[in-house]
Amino acid sequence: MSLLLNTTYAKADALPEFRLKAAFIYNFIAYTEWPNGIGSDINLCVYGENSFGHEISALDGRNVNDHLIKIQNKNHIEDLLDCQVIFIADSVIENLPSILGSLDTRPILTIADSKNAANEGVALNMGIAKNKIIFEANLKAARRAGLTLSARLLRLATKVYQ
Amino acid sequence: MTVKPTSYTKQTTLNQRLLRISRLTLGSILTIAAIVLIISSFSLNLFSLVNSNQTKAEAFTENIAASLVFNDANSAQELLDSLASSNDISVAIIFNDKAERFAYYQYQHSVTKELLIPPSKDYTIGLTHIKINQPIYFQQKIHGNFYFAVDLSSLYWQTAWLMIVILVTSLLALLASNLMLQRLNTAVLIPLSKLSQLIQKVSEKNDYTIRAESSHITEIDTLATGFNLMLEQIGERDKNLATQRDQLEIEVAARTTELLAAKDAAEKASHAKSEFLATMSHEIRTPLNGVLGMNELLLNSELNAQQKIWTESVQTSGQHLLSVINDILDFSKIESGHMQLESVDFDLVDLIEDAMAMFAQQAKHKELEMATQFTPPNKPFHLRGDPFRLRQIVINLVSNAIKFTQQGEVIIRTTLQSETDKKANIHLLIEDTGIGIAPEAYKTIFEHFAQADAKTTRKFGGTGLGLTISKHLIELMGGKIRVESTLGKGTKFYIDLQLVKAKRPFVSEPTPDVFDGIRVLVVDDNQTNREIVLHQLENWNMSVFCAPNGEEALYLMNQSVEENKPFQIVILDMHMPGMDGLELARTIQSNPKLTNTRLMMLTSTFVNTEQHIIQESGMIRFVNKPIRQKDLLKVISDLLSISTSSDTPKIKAKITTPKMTGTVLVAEDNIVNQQVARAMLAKLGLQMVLANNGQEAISLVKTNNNFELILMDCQMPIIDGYEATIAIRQLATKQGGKYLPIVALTANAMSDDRQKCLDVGMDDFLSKPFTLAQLEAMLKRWINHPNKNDKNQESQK
Repeated sequence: MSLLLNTTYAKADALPEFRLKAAFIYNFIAYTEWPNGIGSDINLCVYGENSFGHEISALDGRNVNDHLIKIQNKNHIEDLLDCQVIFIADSVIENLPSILGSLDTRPILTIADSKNAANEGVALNMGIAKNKIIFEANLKAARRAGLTLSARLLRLATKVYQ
Repeated sequence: MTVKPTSYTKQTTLNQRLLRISRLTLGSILTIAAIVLIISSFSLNLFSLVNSNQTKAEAFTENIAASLVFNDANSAQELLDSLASSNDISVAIIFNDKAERFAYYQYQHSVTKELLIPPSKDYTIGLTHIKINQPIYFQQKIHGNFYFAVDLSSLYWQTAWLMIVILVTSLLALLASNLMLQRLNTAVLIPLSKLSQLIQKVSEKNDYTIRAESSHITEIDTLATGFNLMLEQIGERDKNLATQRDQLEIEVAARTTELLAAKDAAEKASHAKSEFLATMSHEIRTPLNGVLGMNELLLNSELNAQQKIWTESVQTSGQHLLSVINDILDFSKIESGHMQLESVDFDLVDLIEDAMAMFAQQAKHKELEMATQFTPPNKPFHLRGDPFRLRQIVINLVSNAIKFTQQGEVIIRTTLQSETDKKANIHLLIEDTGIGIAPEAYKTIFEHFAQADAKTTRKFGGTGLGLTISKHLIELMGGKIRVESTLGKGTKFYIDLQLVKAKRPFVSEPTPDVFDGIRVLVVDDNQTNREIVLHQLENWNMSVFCAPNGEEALYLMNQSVEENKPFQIVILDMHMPGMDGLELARTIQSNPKLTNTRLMMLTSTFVNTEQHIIQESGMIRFVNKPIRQKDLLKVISDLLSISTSSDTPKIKAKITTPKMTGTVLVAEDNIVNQQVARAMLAKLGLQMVLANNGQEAISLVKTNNNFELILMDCQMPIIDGYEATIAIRQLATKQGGKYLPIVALTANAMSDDRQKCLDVGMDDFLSKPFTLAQLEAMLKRWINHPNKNDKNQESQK
């Protein structure tokens, strides 16, 4: 918990960037509503190179909106269908169209930290501006997946694609 | 004394009272309601404000939570700035989980520091602000706090408005209630005030026919009915009373008439009695006047011894009859309450000395000593009262004393007991050495027709009315009389009188200085006389010695000459046992050593001492007994001023009547009395013209101016004496000329007759029957009277 609080306040320089990004991911999950019948667990899958290290694993087993977060590392596209949240690492961003294609309208929240990724169909994409972590949202993509992004979240997004 | 304060509080009408009560009630209800309303409204508003703001804060924190977890201060600030729309929030601050300020908003430019401190509880209510502190939750975890302060001024304004509204409403309510109450009161009070006006009207006008109207209000109607019933009863009672009063008035009038009739009858009876008395007095005195007058003339004519004795006894019987008539008249007057006392100034000393002088002859006859003593001596007692009646009392008592005393003395002692500025208490003592009265008779002697015993009456004569009359007169004067007596030794009558002082003072005439230290010898066998004279002389600062007889006197005189202190004056009593006064005087004169002593003889008026005896005796002065204080003073003064050598004895010459001249008009209807008058006047040397009635008298006066005097009988036919006098006096004022004295002759002894005579213009009054001497004295007083001319002048004015 202290970790989360710290991340929300600390500057990107002072804290490891991925620690903050992991916190953001947790917050994204909190402000996202899944359709009924997703089960009690939320599988948070990291696809591609896991740059978070142990920072992301800190989220494992944590509770959000009565769901239990489970961290999974995935390397194959076909494995991604079990996930409720997929962090698409920068290392695999080139494959984005195929990834998104395979996911189709499944209720899966896609998160990335690559440039222009939101515009290309990722629901939430993080970036860095003025030493602060910022994010963009693609409302269209989220709706396609049957997810509802909280207005409170959208209010904080630097850009919302519709 | 305590009085209920309410009874003195200001009186109000029922209307005012009711209005006040309703105002008080409504006012207090409104006040309580207003207070409750305002307080509850304020607190409700306050709590709803707190609630709504807390709800607002809860909603707000969810938005803030996102900003906080994403560490987006800008969005938080934006959120706070959106609060600007509700201007009652003064300050809003977002704190992070480290209680650091994350975002800040303030409505006004400056806020107090106190306002920046969040409360420790969820909210606090202050005077000016409510502070609300809402924790910011994210995923059931507190991520910070949202604090803001809400300004209460709008709440206050709201409350103020509420108060104004309530106030206005209350005023309107009061006004409305007032109006309504007044209308209501009028409905109740008008009948009440009508009733009270009616009551006033009834009590003012005493009109019990008025009736109160009935009313729709039950209580007032009951009142009116009761009032009407009461009025009816009062009216009926009044009517009854009036009837009774009328009956009573008739009865009283009837009774009054009866009483008046009875009173008239009584007054008439009383008047008739008085009339009867006056008539009887007149009818008895008129013939008695004839009897006595004629008899007196007879006495003075040439009679032989036997005839003289018979005539004298007629005279005595007549006099006695007269005194009996007088007593009966006086007694009747006292009995009927007609006795009226005069109030005039007089000298008691003169009065008593005069009275005593009247008895001098009688006393001499019985060889009784008579003396008067006054304490203090040599001083007039000027008093105010009825001297005529007082003299009557004194004369009565003295005449009784002389009557019942065969030998010894009769003395009147007069004492001024005490005096104030206005009154004097006089004590009179009349004592004799007579037969005395038994103690058991002390009371009865003052009762009617009672003398010491029945035999006495026969022996001494008299009606026995004298003492009764005296007692009544003394009591009328406010005095008292009592008697002390020892049988065979004598009697003492004590009289106490309180009399008003006359204006003239009780001052004695100044004693001449020459009296001082003069040596006087008093020679008298009677001790009382010696003492009285001693008393008087010592009062004049003389040096007085006494001797009971001639021998003693001579011894004292010789001794005093030897001692070279001879007596200047010797006062001798004529009648003494052994050596009498004359003999003693001769002895003194014959002694050359004693010739310088001046002598004074006390003697009876009626002793006709031969001239030569008097000259032989060398007496300088004879003085009549009983001696008067004034005479004693005068004689002693004379004795001291004349020298013995050029002494010519002044002997009281025998009274020789100088013949009077002139014509007297006598108006008298009784023929006998006409003759008496004519005879008496002739004896006095006067001419007489007769008038048979008043009318004749008037016409005689008209035609003849030369009358010296008129003797006017009061009761005459045609015109009586009073009317005739009035007519003659009127005539005199018209004609002028010399003053004509008129003397009334009346057989009425009533003193009011006397006043009546003086009132109509008569000058004096002679009661019938009169003696020759009385007539002479009267005529002398008025014919050639020195004051006659003065009076004449007065009448001309």
